[in-house]
Amino acid sequence: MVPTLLAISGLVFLIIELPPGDYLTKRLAELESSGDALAEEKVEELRLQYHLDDPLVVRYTRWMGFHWFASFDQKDEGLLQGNLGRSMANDNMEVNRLVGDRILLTVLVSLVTILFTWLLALPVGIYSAVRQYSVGDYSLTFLGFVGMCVPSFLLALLLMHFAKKYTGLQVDSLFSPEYAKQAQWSIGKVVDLMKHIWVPVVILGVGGTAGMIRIMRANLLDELRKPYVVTARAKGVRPLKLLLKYPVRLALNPFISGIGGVFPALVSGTVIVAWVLSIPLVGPLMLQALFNQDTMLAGSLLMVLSLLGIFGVLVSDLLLLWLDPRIRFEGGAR
Amino acid sequence: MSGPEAAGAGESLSQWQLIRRRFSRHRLAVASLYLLLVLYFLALFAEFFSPYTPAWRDLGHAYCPPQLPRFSFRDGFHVRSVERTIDPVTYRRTYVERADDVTPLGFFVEGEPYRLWGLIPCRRHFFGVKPGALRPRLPFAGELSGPPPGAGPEVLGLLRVDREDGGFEEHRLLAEGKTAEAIQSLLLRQVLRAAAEGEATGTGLRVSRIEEHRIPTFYLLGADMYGQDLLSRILHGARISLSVGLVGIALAFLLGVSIGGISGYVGGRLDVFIQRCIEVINSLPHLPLWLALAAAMPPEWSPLQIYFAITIVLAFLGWTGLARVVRGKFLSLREEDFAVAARLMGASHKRIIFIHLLPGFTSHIIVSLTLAVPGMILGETSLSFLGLGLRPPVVSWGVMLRDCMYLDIVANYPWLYMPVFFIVGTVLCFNFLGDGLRDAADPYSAR
Repeated sequence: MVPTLLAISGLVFLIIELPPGDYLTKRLAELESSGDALAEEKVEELRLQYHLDDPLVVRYTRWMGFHWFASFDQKDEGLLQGNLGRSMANDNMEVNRLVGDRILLTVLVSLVTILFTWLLALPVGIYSAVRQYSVGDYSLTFLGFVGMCVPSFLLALLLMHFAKKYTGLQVDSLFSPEYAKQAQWSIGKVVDLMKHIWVPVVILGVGGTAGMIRIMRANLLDELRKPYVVTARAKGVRPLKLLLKYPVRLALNPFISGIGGVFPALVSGTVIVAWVLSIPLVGPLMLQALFNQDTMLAGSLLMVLSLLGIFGVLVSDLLLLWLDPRIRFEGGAR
Repeated sequence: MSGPEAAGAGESLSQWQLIRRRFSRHRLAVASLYLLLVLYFLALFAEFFSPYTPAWRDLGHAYCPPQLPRFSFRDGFHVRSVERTIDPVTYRRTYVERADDVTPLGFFVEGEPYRLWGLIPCRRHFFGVKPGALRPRLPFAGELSGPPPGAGPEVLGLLRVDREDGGFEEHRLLAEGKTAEAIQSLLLRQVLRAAAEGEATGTGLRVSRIEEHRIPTFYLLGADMYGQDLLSRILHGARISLSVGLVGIALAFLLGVSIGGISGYVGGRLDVFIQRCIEVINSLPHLPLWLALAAAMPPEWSPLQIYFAITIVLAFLGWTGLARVVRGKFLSLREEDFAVAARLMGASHKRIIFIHLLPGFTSHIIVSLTLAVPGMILGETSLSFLGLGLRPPVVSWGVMLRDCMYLDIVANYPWLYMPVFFIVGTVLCFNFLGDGLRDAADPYSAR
């Protein structure tokens, strides 16, 4: 896990450092065009503060916060200490403050979406498999295919449009206006959030749900064909009990490991959907930072998103470990 | 394995023939294949099949809705011309079809000049507005003719209006303050309507007010905010959107096969290391990484450079699935008797890999490639849509969708979402095709 994270942080840092030219050249041009006599000095100051003249490796270790272990100085805190650095484009604001609740909300939206995907895909997948080649199965499979291929932003726009037209609900935010301004969390705000969160969740969930339904259906079909099902049926086990107790349980395995694959895709999806719906998640902020070549901000946010993806995979691995004893034994032997 | 009718002839068929036979039973996959072939064919000859060039615009027809082609024996294929009215308060444009005024259409008509593949100069389009076939129908009984012989340059034509009592009166069409060319290029109906509304004075008809420069237009799928033809842009965009997937997959193929091949063939520590790398890449969310990589492109790059940079960006994360397949196959085939025999006979690694091992799972590679293309197409679309991919002078489906981010488009101009249908259609087709190929290529499949 640790080497993986290190590798990812290195990769992220490299990618972020790729663009030729940096924010400072842009800033210098801006200051000069506005006739600021101290343009050079101001930019020089920024350059010093961000240690942009240091070699790549030194900047990386500084970003990660390795220096802190040597000095225990507060100003040397980096990613490892939970300090995401400062944003150059936003008046030198600390990224932590800029991000605010966005990370929490992104995690929340992702988790609720996973739950939603589960609750929807499980029964639908079971139904599809049990009633194979029925009208319901065909239409659900077709819907699933379409849901998988329709870009999420289109869904977002359509949902926004129809929600506004028929219910008058303003869905392009996670909060009602009176709560959006309020920084403190309160019960009212949480309730308000719950009222709004279904929009991004539904939009994000549709694509993943389609994939999960297909996985569930295929696995369950494989299980249902096995002889033990026939035996149990011949012995007179009630159909529902039979279905839920054996084949579904076995079919759940790939389903859970499927979550690992869905989670990174989900995090990707939040970027587009949050941007279209202008929801305060991590994605839009990162896009903005990328447009501005705001290295620190973009890098830290990219790191956060990557962490989220890896976290999802890890959780699904752990779940699988808990669910399926066979895997545990294999893991122990290695 | 396959049906009873195949059992007898089974032995004499090669692997590829078997695959083809199994594939052809998969109706949906075959249909998808043909649909994709048509799409790629249209994209290949986009200049010819589109009625206009992608940059052609007629601002007078901004947001013109799709026009339905009609057929009648008198006019042949035609569309009804549309007339624009702008609401003085909301500035909302509405287009009204005029039943009395048609724009004739034709196949293989001469239109906007273009260069096929940027090389061959050409004017013919597959279909479009028939040039020179302008027949203004009069709003009253009468006849319009060219300038009478001996008239001065200010006389544009002669208008004969039939009177109720059986006689007729003649008006000369005079241009006032406009050059003859300008008037001639304007739809004469404008002039005629002025005549009908009684603006004729004395012997001559004065055309003092020219509302707008009107060219007969035909928007099969509607027009965008600049009055550009959506169909033409979709066809030209298809060229980029469809090929990005192929070029990207070719790069991913190179990366995946070589890395996966090394991993599977060499094995040991290197294998573990490469597998770890693949796991890491797979657990990363792709879109943010793509965005970050795309943001690294210098803005002054030419469209061609950006195009290739994007394919590299897409391939950068797209090779892992293929590498897994290749590695797995290498691992299992490496220990097969025929591979061991080849090794013992002193065949070189190159020979073992390319002659003995690779042909064993070519079909699996093709399947993985087919299933990976839609991801790349969607990737390009989202990159361009978010503004970090291709940029406006270039036309791609993602670039086109960038115009439709706003709510009022859904409400007022829904036809701008037409590219979505092409994207969804293409992605669906690739998925069906991949599914069909997978079933066909798997010798143990039940079908």
